[in-house]
Amino acid sequence: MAINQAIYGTPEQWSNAFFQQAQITDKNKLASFGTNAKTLSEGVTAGKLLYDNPIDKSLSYCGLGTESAMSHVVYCGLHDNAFTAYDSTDRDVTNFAFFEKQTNTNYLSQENIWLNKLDRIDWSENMDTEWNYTKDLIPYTVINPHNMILVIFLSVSNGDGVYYDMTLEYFVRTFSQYNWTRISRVKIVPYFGNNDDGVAWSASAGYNPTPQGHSIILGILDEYVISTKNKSFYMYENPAFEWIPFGFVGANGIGSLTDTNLVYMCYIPETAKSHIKYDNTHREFYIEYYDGIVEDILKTVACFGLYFSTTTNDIGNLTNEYTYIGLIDDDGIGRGRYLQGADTVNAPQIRDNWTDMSKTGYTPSADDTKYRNDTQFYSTWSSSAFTKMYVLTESQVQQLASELYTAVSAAPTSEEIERYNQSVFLTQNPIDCIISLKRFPIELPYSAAVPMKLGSYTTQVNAAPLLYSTGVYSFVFSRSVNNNLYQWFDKSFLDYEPYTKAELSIPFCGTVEIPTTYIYDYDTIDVKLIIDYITGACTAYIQARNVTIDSVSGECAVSLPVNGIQSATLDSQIHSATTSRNKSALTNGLGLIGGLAAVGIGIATGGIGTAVIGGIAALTSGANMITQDKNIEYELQHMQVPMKQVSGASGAINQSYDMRCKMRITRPKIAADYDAKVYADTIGFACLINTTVGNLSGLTVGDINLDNVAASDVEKQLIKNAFAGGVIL
Amino acid sequence: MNIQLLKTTDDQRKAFKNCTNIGTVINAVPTDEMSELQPKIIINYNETYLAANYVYIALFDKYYKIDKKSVTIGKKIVLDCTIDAVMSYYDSILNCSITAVRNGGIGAPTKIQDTKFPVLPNEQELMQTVSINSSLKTNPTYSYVITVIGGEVNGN
Repeated sequence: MAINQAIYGTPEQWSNAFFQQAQITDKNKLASFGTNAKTLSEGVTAGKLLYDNPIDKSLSYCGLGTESAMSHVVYCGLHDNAFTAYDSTDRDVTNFAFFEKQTNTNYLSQENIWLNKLDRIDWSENMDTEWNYTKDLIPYTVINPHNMILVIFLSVSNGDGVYYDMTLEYFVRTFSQYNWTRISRVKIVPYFGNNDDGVAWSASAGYNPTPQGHSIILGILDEYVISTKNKSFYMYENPAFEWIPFGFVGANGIGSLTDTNLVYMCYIPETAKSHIKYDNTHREFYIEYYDGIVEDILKTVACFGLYFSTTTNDIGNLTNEYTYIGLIDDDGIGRGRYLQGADTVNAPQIRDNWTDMSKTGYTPSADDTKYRNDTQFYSTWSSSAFTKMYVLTESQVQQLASELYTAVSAAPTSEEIERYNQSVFLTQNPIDCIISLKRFPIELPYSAAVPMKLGSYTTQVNAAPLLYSTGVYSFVFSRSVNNNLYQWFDKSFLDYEPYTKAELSIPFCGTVEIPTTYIYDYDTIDVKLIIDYITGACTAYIQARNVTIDSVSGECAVSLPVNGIQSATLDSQIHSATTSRNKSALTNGLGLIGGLAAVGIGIATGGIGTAVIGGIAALTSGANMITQDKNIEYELQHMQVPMKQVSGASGAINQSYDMRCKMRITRPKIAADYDAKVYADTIGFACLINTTVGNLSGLTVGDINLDNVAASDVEKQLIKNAFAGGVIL
Repeated sequence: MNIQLLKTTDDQRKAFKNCTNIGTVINAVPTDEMSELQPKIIINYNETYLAANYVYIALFDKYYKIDKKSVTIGKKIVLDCTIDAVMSYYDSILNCSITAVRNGGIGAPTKIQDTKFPVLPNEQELMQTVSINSSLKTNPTYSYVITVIGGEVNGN
């Protein structure tokens, strides 16, 4: 979603972020709350921000998905020296924002700029207490993925009570030697540079072996301060140097703990929860090393959708094996997938040259604290060595077809054709290299174009490999956007079946009826259309408030028939025909037929019969009279070319589609002279009210309980009868 | 026994009817046998009394609907009455619990289905709203996906 300019200023007002080379283009930018107002506290003074409100979601260019530890927070507490996990916040998506920090009201001209650093904060804050460490934060509004790389550092120990900071690469490399079994925290340190060659990347100012400009993204934090309103936590590591504020979007993300024992807070992914340990001797919490923790760390950092690295060596060489980039799914959420090394250039952020992160299309939902979804949808990666899939344009398809035909006719002799085909195309027929050809009425994701290979034969066609094997497309109907959906008949029975009906029409999949209760009572309807880019099959899942209520399937791709010559069969037919013709010629004194190529070319280029001699008439007279030789020659010339068809036409309709998802609602009409007052006085509205008679007014029909009425049975029956027929109260 | 003649113009179904007094409290005598539920009482003739349609009988502390008025010889009016149980026990009834299946006071239809509600059986109103995903374009460039034999990895 675009940055909320009403709060954070217009692009012209944004200032350059501090930590970047002066000469780079597409700089990272900071927000502006007005003239000389950049920090959060100045934003409050300027009236743009409010205390106790969540951080604005437009600062999040992507959401941290379930692989981010930020979406699973376990609170650990000590009671009688025993470790207890208090709570687990469980979200599908966590919003976050990056900030620059200044020490006080003096800005960047200060000498000790080593205190300025990049922090992450994602919570609502209470600014009117003395524990306000967030007042000096300045939000980032533009992050250029080319200009930032996050280096992963760990604080580790081998159990002797001392923790050392090191890069993840160093940790892995020296693990066996030093036995780093305890990890207290994982940090990301931003390095800033650009995508121009030759310009050195630099860490946030003040970088030294103890990384200072960093954010803690995973691990255990010691010492905390809870604000008086119990809405935010602060971690205060070293009073002289740094502090790491953190928290979560939405109020009351963290419970209130008044125990005087120290409470230790953790960001732990699901897999690591069971590895939290406490050492009584050193009074420290830590994550015990487990198989898979390195991968979990990589996934956690990948959720940010940025470049990250496990080492500081060779920073800026964005294709070395230590460099990764996080992938953001189509819905703008990072779920821990990443590319590594040379593959990173295929990530959409880099391939499509994002100069800021607005292209993620992340639009978080209205629900602040809990996005829990019972079904996960994300694109699956396309990779297989047995088949390759390419995305082609129409002209590329034609280019490939013409090249295949030409390749057949390029072979010089009949004996060599077979060898040529088998070794190059890995099959006797070039046409067998093609498994299927489908046409999609949508744009497909692809990575950088490469020369297309069929088997081992390299074609002249530069084709883009298919990037994902499935895609997820979301449609949302919500109260705020589709207001006309939510018009009520006074929220009455008329809004539900059978009076009001709703159906969804989903591209490729058809229509499905939706009980109207899911529209009115659940706020949003999400349609997730999953398209399989390999088979063309699609399935749409309809969800109401993250619960799947229905699904419907269809097909969107049209299979196109691919025709080609069964060249192996053709070759053998020609070969045997030619041999017997030549044998006959030797006997009968006719000239030998020349090389196979003459016939072959004629057939391969589609012009069957270019070498055919004249029609039948020509065979019945003179020198061309039908003889056995002529017969063979005739048959040779009129050979039926064996064709082969791959991938025949399928049943999907070949038409242009309406790509919109539509919700249709039919509502009843009420009689023109309906008058609510008249109806109320004469019939009364159907209801089911359990109350005392004194609370009702107007015409009332119902069953009355006369237990405490001192009337005779006959009188009570009279009263009951009266109420059964209607009493006006 | 003392009675008060009353007149009301309220709907018969009204629980506690607004009444105006007809005359003052008068003395009445029952006929021979009189039931509490359907008393038959005699009062002296007075033509204003003929306007009454309700009566309050202090002896029973109950309200009665006058079913029939007759003028008899000896300048008497005979009133045949039936108890109005709801009005008589109104105060107690107010504290009783009830499950109401119809009520006019709520003013509008509820979520309980009402088959008497005047909905036109066949006419309907049609509305449509759309949701667009920016990745799906209505006039796309067609994409062809070709699946070919793999084998040698071409660096991707």
